[in-house]
Formats: sequence, C-alpha cells, structure tokens
Amino acid sequence: MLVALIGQPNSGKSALLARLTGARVVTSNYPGTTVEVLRGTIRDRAGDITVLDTPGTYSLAASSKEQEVARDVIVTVRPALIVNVVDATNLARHLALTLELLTYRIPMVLALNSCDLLHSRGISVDTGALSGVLGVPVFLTSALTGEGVEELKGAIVGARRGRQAGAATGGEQASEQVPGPACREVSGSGGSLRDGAPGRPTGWKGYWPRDAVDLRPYQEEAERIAQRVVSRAGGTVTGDRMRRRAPRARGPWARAPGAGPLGERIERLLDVPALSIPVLILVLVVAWKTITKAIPLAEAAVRVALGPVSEGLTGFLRAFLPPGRISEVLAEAVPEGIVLPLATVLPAIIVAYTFIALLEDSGLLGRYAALGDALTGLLRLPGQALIPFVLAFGCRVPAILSARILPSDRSRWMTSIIVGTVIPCTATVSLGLAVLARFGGSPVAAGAAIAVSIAVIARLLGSASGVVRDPLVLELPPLRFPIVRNVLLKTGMRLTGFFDHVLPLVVAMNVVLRLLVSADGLPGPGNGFSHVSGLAARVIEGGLGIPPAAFGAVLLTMFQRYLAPLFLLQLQLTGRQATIAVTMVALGLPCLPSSVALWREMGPGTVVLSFLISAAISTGWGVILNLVLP
Amino acid sequence: MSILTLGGAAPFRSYVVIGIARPRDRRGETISDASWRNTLIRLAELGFSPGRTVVKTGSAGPGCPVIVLAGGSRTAISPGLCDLILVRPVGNAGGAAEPGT
Repeated sequence: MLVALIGQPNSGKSALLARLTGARVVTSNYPGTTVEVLRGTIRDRAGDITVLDTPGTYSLAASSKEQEVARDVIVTVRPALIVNVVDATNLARHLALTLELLTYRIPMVLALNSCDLLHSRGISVDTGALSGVLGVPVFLTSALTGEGVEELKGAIVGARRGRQAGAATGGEQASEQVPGPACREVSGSGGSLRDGAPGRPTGWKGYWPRDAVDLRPYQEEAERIAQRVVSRAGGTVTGDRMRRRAPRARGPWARAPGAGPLGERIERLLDVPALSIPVLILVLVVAWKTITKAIPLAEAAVRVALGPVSEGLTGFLRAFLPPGRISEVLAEAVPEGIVLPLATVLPAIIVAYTFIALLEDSGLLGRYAALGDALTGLLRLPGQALIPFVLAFGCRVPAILSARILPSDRSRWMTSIIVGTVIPCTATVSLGLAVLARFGGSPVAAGAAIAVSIAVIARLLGSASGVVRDPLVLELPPLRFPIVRNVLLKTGMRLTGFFDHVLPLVVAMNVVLRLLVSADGLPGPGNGFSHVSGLAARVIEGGLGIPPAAFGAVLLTMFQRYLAPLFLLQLQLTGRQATIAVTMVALGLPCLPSSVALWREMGPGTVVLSFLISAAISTGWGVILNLVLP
Repeated sequence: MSILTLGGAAPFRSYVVIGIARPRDRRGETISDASWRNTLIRLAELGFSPGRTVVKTGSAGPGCPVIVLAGGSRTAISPGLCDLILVRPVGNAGGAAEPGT
C-alpha cells in the first residue's frame, strides 16, 4: 500500500515521515526543503506500507518544479491514502489545499501538525467539528514531540487492514476504513471549482493568464471552516499569525499580539537590512574564522590521536603483506589516506555543515534569500537562488536539486550551471586551503577569482537567456531558535553521507598516487611524465605557470573535485604555483556526481555547456593569475 | 474608489487586492509567459487574490523586497512586482469584507 504525505511547505511532512517510519530525512525551516519524493516504510505484520514524503505545495496548480512533483504523486501515482499534513497554527491557509485535495476522491486523513505550539499558545481546535465538516478523520500530531504520531500510524495501518481506522486509533470518525471523502463543490465569490478548473477571478483588474487557477473559493471556504473550529480565550482565531505580526494594523489585525514577543521583535528587526545584513556578515565571518582556525588545530589533534592507529596499521600491513614495493606503498598510503581526510576535511565540513544547518533550522536561510534579492538581482536571479548557492558549499548535488524551488526553467538553468561550475564544496575548500598553507599560496587571490567568476558567468548567462529575471515571491519561514536535535541529526547525516564516499576514494587515490611516485610515473621535474607532454608541457608551464602534473590535478576534478588538492599535496610547488593550481581546481570541471545531477535535472546540453564554461573559466584564471601574480 | 499599487501603499494598513498589471517590456526584455504564470499562481496561493486583505509591513530598504502579511504568513515580494499589484484601502466603496471578520 502506498501512502502519500501531502501538505503545504514547512508543515512538517519530512519530520512526520521520520516519526512514522524511522527514516533518516533532512528537515529544515524554510519552504522547499524537500524537492523530491522521499520514501519510508511502516513495518506491519500484514505487510509493509510505503510512505512517500512529497515536496510541499501550496496548491495543485504547481507553480514550480518541486510542486509539480507533489502534484504528480496525486494525479499520476494516485496513492491508496493521503495523509494531509496541516500546520495547526495556520489552519485557514493550509485548509485551502485540503479542500483541493478532497476533489480527487482519494481516501484521506488529516494530520494537524505542530499541536505542541497550539497548546503553548492556548489555542484549541475542535477536531470533531473539523472532521465532520471535511468528512475525513482528523489527528492532532506533533512531529517535534511525537504526540499523536502513534494514533496516526494506527489509522494508516488500520486503513490498510480495512478495519475501523477512526474508532481503533482514536480518530474522530469511525467507519469501515478511512473513507473516500465526499467530492466537495467548493463555491466562493470567484465561482466554483472542481478538479482545478481554470478561471479568471471575478473582479480581477489587469492581466490574468488563461490557464491560471482561481484559488479563492478554496481559500474563502478554508477561512470559514477555520473560523468555526479554531478558538481560544478572547475569540475565534482566523489568520492568527497575521494578527500577531501586525499589531499596529487596523481592523482585526490589531487584535491579540499573541505569544513569543521576543521572537516577534527579533523577526521584525531582522527584516531591516541595516541590522540583518551585519548579522549575516557576522555569521559568515565567524564561520570562516572557525573553519580556518579549526583546520590546523584539529589537524594537529587528529594526527596525535590517530598516530598510534596509523602506526599500528602500517605495522600490520608490513607484517601481513609480502615484502616489496606494493606492500611499502600500501603501508604508507592507506594510513595516510585515512588520517588526511579526518585531519583536514572533517573539521572544516563539521563547521560548515553545522553553520548551514543552523541557518536552515533557524529560518535565517529563507530570510536571507529574501534579503539577498537585491544582490542576486545583479546576477539576474531571484533571491531564492541564494538557497542552492549556500547549500552548494556543503555539497553541490543536493544544491542542484534544490534549484527546483526557483520559479522558472531559466532561473533553474542559470542557478544549476553556477552551482555546478564555480561554487566549490567545503571539502575542496578545506583541502585547497591545506595546499595553500603548505606551499605558501594566496587564499585571497583564489577567493577573489571565484567571486568574480560567479558574477561574470551569471551575467553572461543572464544576457544569453534574454529575459528579465523572475520576480521574488517567497514565504518567510517563522524565525525560531534552532532545534539542537535537528542540527545534530542533519550535520551527522551529511557527514555520514560524505565520508561514505570520501574515505574509500581518498585511500584509493592515495595508493594510486604513491604507486605513480614510486614508479617514477608522476609528472614533474625529474620523473617520467615529461616525455608524454613535450609541447603540451611547455604550453602549460608557459601559459599557466604550473607544472604539467598540477594541470593533471585540474583534469582530475571531473571525477571528484576534492581529490585534486590531494594530488597537489604530492607535488613540490611554489606559493605562486599553488595559488594558480588551487584556483584552477576550485573552478575546475564539474565532478561526476554533479554532472549526473545536472544531466538529470537540466539535460545533457547543460552538462556539456557546464564543462565548456568550467574549462574556459579555469584555464582563463590560470592565464590571468600567471600574468598578474608576482 | 482609490486604487493604488502595493508598492505605494502605506505600511501597517490593510488593503484589499484587486488585481495585477502585466509588466511592460523593458529594453526589449520580457518576462516569459511560463514564469509570469507561475508568479501569479504563487501570489494567489499566498493570499494575493482579488478581495483578499493584505498588510504591508514596510520595505526592507531601497531595492529590497517588501514584506507583506497575507493569507496568514509573511511574504517577501520584489519591489518591482509590488508596483504591479493593484490594491485599495479597506473600507473604500465596493470593498470586500476582511477575512476573519
């Protein structure tokens, strides 16, 4: 049986999936965290139940790529049961989607999520009345605390077993099984709507596209229902959030400032660029300083801590392998391949991943995406593009996927290319810094080259696409103190994912490099690569100012970009050469996983274009730095 | 009935949305039909439909997005787009009732 979690962005679907199935999924506090369908499984004696977590969607009109994914689950996959996840603190807004879902005649249960916030704000929802109005079972749940999740799971299992889901699990409606909702004819001032029939709203001035949908009937009906079922001391609570956040407004907005005055005040202050931009700069400076300070400190500590392990492993390999060149290489390369990423990469990515997780979970990432709209405007992109840009510092593959939140194919195309070509991940940055530190190179020159490249590429792509940029329309997530469990879980998941791939690759790469060195096969002064490259070597050395071996590192970026600095660490470079080589690596070819993601999202043409752009930019900066650097 | 744009609306006052004007071509550049359609749908989803009430909480600064309370949440909108959204103050003739009243 297939169950789909459907709901508006930021309603807690992924967190609920984790609670229901134990699946390890990333949860964040900004609209668009989930951009593809995730799966979890509820184990049951009668057989497993697959639960799909879909990207958040405001309506089934699907105004972006990730919302199309959610709509396709409803229209094409047609799950056996929909669990409509609704933010209980903003019922009037979220019920509009519920009403739209009801028209599809798929059995449904309603999960009123974030009920812990309802309690703390003294708001109550009449779930019985709501269930009666909608004709579906209603459960109060909290993905954060786990409240009501077992009851919801019972309803899902009961639906599959064909038993009385509501009665057996404490739901509000008893029936033979979770009922197929009555197809509702929703009427409002904009006319009637069923199954997303198009229509221009009555009274609308100006332009309205032919195929756009009038959602007003759903929204008005949702507000009427919310007015009936939500209450608290002091009266009915419709548009509760809105009133809390506009206490100076006239009319109903002026009522009930509500809970969390400190949070509200901070939110309003951070809406002002004069304060929020310095806060962002402070966050970035702290992150950068922490990374640059943490690497040498952690490197020393990890080397001391892992010294005995490394020596033990070396001794073990020497003892058990037959003597010879290969055993000597393995005895040195394997321990080094394990220690190097732990000492150099681990501290940097822990810091970077933690900062990214903090930005995501606090709601600051969404806020800065909005505030950054003026900045991304220079790149002809809407502010939402900042979200993939920031995520790319963690890893570029999820960043390319997250470009689905952008409103048009043009913006997605531009953002994907920029992410795939010129934004280096933290692993590459940390290893690149290690190379620069070892050979006395210049991080400032490399950083400036990357920044200029982003601006130039975006500008060129923007001009080539020939249309004005998409306007920003972005729901701001509520600001909150980051949940430590979320941040740790997310950082841990990303670290695990990274090291699952990195450690074996780095060890293998280290062994190969050592073998090449021992066989005199590594390019460079005094060994055998020079005979391969007569003219090419002279062109590389003359045009780029680096040894041919370092150029080999740039080509290596197409497999994994962070492997290239490892290659550079094996060479003897001057500070100048190191700066040029690290810059070229940082702007090197899209790595294999990024290329696959680009192919999947944007097609083979974009992959080819990205390779051409990367080759041009990387080589171009090599030539420029060779001319400019003393 | 006085009609103005959301960009020109006073902060912390309630306005009723009455429509949106299509952006005019600038230097021969146009926003694509698909992108414009998606923008309108997103606006409608977030509560910028005719007859719906919105409250502007002020611009974040010159060239920065405008923060608007609509449909129960805070939405950031490009200043250029705000200048296309047509509104009238709540209470003017022909006004729709505010949600929640």
